[in-house]
Amino acid sequence: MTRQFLLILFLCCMAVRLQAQPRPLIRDVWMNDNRTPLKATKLLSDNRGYLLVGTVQGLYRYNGSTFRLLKGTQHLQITALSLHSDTVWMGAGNGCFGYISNDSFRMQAVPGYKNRSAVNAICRLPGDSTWLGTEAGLFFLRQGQVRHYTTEQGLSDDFIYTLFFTKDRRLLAGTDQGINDMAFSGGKTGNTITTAEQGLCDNITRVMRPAHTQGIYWCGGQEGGLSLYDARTRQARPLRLPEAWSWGQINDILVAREQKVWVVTDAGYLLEVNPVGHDSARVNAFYYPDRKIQAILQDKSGNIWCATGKGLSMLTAEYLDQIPVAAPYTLSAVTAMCCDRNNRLYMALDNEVYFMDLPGAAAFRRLHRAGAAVSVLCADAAGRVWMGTSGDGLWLRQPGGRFVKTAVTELGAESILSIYAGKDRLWVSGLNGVKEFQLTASGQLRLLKTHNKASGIGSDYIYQLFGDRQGRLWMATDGAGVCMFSGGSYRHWNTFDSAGSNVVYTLTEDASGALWAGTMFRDLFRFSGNRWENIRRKEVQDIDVNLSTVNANATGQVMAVYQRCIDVWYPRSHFFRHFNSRHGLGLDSTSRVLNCSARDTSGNVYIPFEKGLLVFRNQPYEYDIRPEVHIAEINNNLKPVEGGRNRFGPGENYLSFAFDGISFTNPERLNYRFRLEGYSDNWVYTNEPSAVFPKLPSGTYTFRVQVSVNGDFDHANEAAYYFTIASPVWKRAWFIAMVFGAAFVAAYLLIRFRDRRMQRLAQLEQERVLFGYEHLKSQVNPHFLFNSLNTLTNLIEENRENAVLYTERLSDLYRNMLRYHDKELIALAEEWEILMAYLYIQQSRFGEALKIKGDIPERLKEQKRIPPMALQLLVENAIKHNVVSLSSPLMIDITADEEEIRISNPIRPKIRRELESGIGLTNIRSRYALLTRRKVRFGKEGENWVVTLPLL
Amino acid sequence: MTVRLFLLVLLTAMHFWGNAQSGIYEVKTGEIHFFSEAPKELISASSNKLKGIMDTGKKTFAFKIDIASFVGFNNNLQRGHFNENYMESNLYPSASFRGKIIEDVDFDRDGTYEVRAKGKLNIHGVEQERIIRVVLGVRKNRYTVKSDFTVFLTDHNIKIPRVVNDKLSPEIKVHVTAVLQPQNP
Repeated sequence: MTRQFLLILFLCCMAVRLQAQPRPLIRDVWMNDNRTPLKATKLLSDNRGYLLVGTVQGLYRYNGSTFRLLKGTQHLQITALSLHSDTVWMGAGNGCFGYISNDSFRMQAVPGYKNRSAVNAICRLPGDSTWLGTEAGLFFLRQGQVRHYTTEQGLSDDFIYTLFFTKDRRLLAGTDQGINDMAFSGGKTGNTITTAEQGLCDNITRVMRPAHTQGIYWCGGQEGGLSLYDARTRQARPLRLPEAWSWGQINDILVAREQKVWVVTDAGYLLEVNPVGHDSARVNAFYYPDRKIQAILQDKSGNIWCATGKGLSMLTAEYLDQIPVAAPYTLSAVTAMCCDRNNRLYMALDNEVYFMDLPGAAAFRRLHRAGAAVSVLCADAAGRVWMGTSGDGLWLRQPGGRFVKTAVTELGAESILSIYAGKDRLWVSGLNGVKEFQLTASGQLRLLKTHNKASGIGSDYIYQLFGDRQGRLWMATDGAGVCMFSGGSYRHWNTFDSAGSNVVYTLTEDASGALWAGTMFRDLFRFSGNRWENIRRKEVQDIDVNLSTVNANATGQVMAVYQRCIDVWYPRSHFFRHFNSRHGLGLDSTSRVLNCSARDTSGNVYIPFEKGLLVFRNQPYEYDIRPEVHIAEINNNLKPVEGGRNRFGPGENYLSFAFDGISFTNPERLNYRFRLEGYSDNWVYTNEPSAVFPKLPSGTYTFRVQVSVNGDFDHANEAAYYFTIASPVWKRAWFIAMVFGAAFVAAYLLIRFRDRRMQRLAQLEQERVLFGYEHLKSQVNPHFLFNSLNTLTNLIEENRENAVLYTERLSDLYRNMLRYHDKELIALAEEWEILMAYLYIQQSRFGEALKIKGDIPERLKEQKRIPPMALQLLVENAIKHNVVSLSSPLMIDITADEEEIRISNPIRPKIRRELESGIGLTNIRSRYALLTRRKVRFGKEGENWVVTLPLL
Repeated sequence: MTVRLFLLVLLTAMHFWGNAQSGIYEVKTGEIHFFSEAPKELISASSNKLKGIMDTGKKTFAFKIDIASFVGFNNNLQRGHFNENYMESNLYPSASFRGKIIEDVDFDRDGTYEVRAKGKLNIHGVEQERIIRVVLGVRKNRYTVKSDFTVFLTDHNIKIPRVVNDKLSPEIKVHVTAVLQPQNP
């Protein structure tokens, strides 16, 4: 017994050291596909969230996954990058400068500015004035005017590194010979020079950065380190450090949150400077000799970026550290961890317990070697450490003492799964449920009760016992979900009965008091209000399986440890930040042991991994890790749209968009959704950063795209583009109205025209009928018949053949009259037949007293047309109105040409007129009017009466 | 009394004759040695054809050396390679360093000063801004300059072929000594 005791004592005294010191995780990024080094010298975050990297061969824009060289910067060595009112200004090593617009460099060519030395700093003031700090002095450019300030004008040195404007418009220039504080008022320049003699730690002022306090600037020198310049009092003071500055030339300074400052030096150091008091500080140094860090910057998600001689590196220093632990530490040996109230971290490797005093500058020391594998370590509020083993019972270590096995016999040799120490109770869960012990002030135990399946927990295996801040005991059970024991009664929830979820492995409480439970496969639940909500359902990736531990820090983040990755929940951004081995951070694997993590008194969470411990730090300022999206390219009909244009014509309806998602935390998980409002309100979910809309109808649209890393778009950032496509002319309202109007007018005119035509036709018909009737009437005129029959009688007596012919002709005449009288137009030939028949009758009566001369070509007779009875009527008129006698014969002359037919006769008016028949020239004229526009002409021509009828 | 006045004037004049504080100093003798320490080979060479001037009033300087004047290699072939392949001395016949001195040096007071020389180091046609520590020994009419610094071949675009990877170090140690005297008018 004593020998065992001595052995244990001996082993305890052996200080087995495991070296440890917390340092950030670092990841290197290659800037090009060939993985060749490219020296990066300047970094800037632009207003859209992109990271701009200035290198010796151009300016690149980084969105978290790809680098894009900005046009026009290819062969320039970037020596200055700054942001002024949302525009990025850039200066190069050959003296040229300009701004970035539309992803390309617009060099400013100012006549009178002939500088060839590197531009190291650019300051812009409203009113288009530019200050350039170069290696050959200070330049002021405004509206074509160039002013050059060098040592001749009072500058302490021509080599300028940085430029800043103070609030009261004084210009601060960091040079090789101190800080120049210049005021320009009126035409005079006042300059206050602060050098090493006035308190600056080094004359060479390589870097200046504004501190959080207004008017104070951090200054970094080439040797001698950091100083602070107060622009209000124009005085400098060096930063006092515990030891002299030994880290080399300062290349850049990053003023982080909470007064902390990061400094990178040329010798390869990354320094974390924590100011203490007014002008002294504590320095934490990390050494990266093969990454000569030139510049340092922090992005919106909290990552720290460093521009190195090889490219870009990312550090997790603001939110995640690692404590490398050397052999004999191996991840697979870790079985339990806990942290006591004095920030001493205990870790069990198989059956040995080690401890380390946090924050981890010291080494791990072995404390105890147990007889069996250690399964649980738990520290209570009184400073005691309880150890549960797999088969060797329960052990207790009083503060400052050593582990002693407790005399609890009830536990026997069963494996202990979890221990929770309350105020005066100790709960121990083993393979037969949970044993509740009364815990006295001196650490004595007395078994009070055994809780198990039978007593109401619902299961005999409880993987974790967790006491929340309100004193309630939560139990993660195998098969009965989560059970809460408070005030003597058990409470269950049936949310956990869904497939696979009722085995709960791990529990924790986050900073806002909500309980988290992790189940067997991968579901994570959060208890808010009165119900358990499945947080995991929103995540889309499936590589996270086998949840083993959840823990939470003091600022709201919750860590969920899986077999191959770790997710950290950011409550304000509403999703998890994902860490896995593919991120290049060196996070290869995590422990499979359940509930293997510890939390120190400030709330930082320690999780073991392959190389040691990961420290998830409290984040007093919660970074926004949501990704951003910008519309990078808009093409219309395959041609890029010039900036700002959003009105398109009717044929410009093939729109395509390319957008860019920016995420510096999980760019591999970017996914988007978009919709075109005005076309469809359905969201299209995609991983591809492009959208195409062919053949859009005219209208007004808004293209909206949102980005997320987990498929949950409730709080996503978005980008939108509003545009209109004009409708073609033939769709415009006024055009349609005009068309309709025209149609109406046309319809109206058509109807009216038709009406008129109908009217005219009716009138023609009427006229014709009337004429026909009248003509008939006239021809049946007894006078004519009387005369005709008289003539016939004479003929019968004289010449029987002629009489027959005469009768035939008379009957022809009447027959033709009957035949044609209701026609509008008849062929001239036919009218001629009628006329000949009529003439035969009349000539038979009048004999030589009536002479007709008619010379009408046959062709005309066949082709031309004329209203029926027109010629006959005219001849009849001629006979009626003129003397027809042997002494004064009537000569009727009929001629015709293409256009008209002409009937003329000499005027021999009768003394006694015959009765008017009522059909006259007027009838012919009105019949013609209905048929044609050509006029019937009649009148006296010399001694003749001439009537001209158009031939149709 | 007039004699005293005369002596006073003479002494004052002499004071100013002998005074060369704010003047131009020229390199009288100067040497540059460089060393390459690689796992398989040590190379060293030197040249005493260093030329340069220093303006003590303005605290500026300019030094130059002909590349072809380096001697002392392990063999002549090595010297040939040095000039033709690496330094390409037909294209870039000289290396120079011109710049200014940061610290204030009291050139009147004799003593040794450790100062930083900041300027452009031009080797193989590539200029790099360098800050080099220099030990400046001040004595009346005679300044000494001593400095040790490292030249990184990649900074000046001098490529080391893979075959000679372990025979040539990417960092060359350089040692400079010079004696400067007032420039002859």
